Amino acid sequence: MDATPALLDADSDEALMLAYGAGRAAAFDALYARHKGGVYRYLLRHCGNAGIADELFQDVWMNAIRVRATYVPTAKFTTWLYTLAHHRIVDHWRASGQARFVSIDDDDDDTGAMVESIPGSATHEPMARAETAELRVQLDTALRALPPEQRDAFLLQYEAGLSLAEIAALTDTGIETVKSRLRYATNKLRSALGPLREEWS
Amino acid sequence: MTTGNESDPRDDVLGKAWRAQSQDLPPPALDTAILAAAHRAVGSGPRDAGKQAMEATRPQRWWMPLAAAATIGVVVIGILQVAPHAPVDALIGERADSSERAARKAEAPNVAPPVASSATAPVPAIPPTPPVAVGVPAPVPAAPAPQKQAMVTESPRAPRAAVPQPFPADAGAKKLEADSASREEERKNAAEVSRKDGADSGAAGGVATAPPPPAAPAMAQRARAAAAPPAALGKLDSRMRENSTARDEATASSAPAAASTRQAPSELTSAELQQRARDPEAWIAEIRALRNSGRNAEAAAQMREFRRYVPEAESRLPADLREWYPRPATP
Repeated sequence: MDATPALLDADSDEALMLAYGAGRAAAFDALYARHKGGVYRYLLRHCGNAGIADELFQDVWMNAIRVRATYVPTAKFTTWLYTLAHHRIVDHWRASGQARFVSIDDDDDDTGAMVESIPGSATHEPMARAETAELRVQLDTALRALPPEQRDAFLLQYEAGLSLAEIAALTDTGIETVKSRLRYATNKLRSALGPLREEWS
Repeated sequence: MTTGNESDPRDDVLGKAWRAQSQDLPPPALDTAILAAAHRAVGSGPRDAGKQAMEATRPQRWWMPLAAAATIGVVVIGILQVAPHAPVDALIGERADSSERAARKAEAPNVAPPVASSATAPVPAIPPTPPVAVGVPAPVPAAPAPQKQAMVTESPRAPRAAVPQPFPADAGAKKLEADSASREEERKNAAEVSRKDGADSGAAGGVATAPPPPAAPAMAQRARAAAAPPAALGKLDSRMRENSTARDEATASSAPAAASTRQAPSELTSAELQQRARDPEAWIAEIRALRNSGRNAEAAAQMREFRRYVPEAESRLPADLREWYPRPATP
């Protein structure tokens, strides 16, 4: 158990998943250690509730465990794993009646106005706090104000590290649409950072 | 603002700020639960189904042989608890009998007493040797005669002892020695009693106080043997028969006159033995007394019995009785 994770860490995610599908439980341990933070934050940023995030997080990984034998590495493991997480969060929105994954026009300016109206945004705190806690609050608030598609694209890019093509494939949209969503999301979050942005730059 | 190529609207500053504040992790309990589920899933996978089935059926695989072995063990123990007593007892009894017989043959010249003592001293009945099981101590044979008689009716089982006991053959030999010693004592006692009885009968001169006839001990032994429990009859009867045979032979050697007309011991009834054992002089006196008292029929019957059982009865009978009841002519 001590030497095995080191060997497995050198392997790719896909190899680890195949190994786990073949019965090596240590491969799953390595995979989980690599991706548990990103998947959890992806879900937590989407739902904004730690309890619900825990439940969704467990469901995602249980799905991964359940379909381990049928896993085929036709794409990156990260794309496959976040696809499971994406579907689970969509199901959650639908089940809770808060489904927002509707067609929101990328050029919709209402979201921009909504972000700017959030307390703590750059317009309300012009000069100010550069502490991480404040940064977190501002980003969380700005992120929650984003439309789900833009938030989803932003989280997939910044948390999961997926490329435009991978996000497009995962969300079953075109790359240009993903680009547009990312652009809107980035601009709004950037404006939400306000003066803190200069400290980070 | 936008870094990299224009097609990717990634903002490095935003990314840096995001990573700085995005440190949330799932609770450890959730980690444990998911990892445990993953391990369980691998453990219960189809590849391990055979191993799991074997583990699930392992108790059933050893249960049946274990149950069969336990049953066989219980049956064997039960058989060993019940069965071996009879054969072992019989074997030990046979061994003790043969050793007793050999010892008796060896001491036969010493046992043959003088005429008077052999005729009067009753030989005690040898109690049957209680069956001795292997590993069970033999009863202490140095007990006096009454205790030995009581042992005949006791349970054949001897009390168990924790200390190791000698081999039953050794115990039988010791028992034979003790038996012979006690027999000697009994003979001495009987001789004293018979001497006293003889003195009493001489003083009284009556028939009722006459000393016991020589064959009385043998008869008593036979009576005791008849009254003995059937379980002890086998060995007891055989031993008594041997004793009575030896005693009869001794009596015959002491009374050569009677030896010519004696019947085989096995053909004699108790009444015949009783008649044979009577003193001829006392018998004649009894016949004379019956005749004097007017009981002629009884006197005649006694005359017939006298002539039947007493050798040379005519020469012993007085002339008046011979004339009163002459010998019937034989065809």
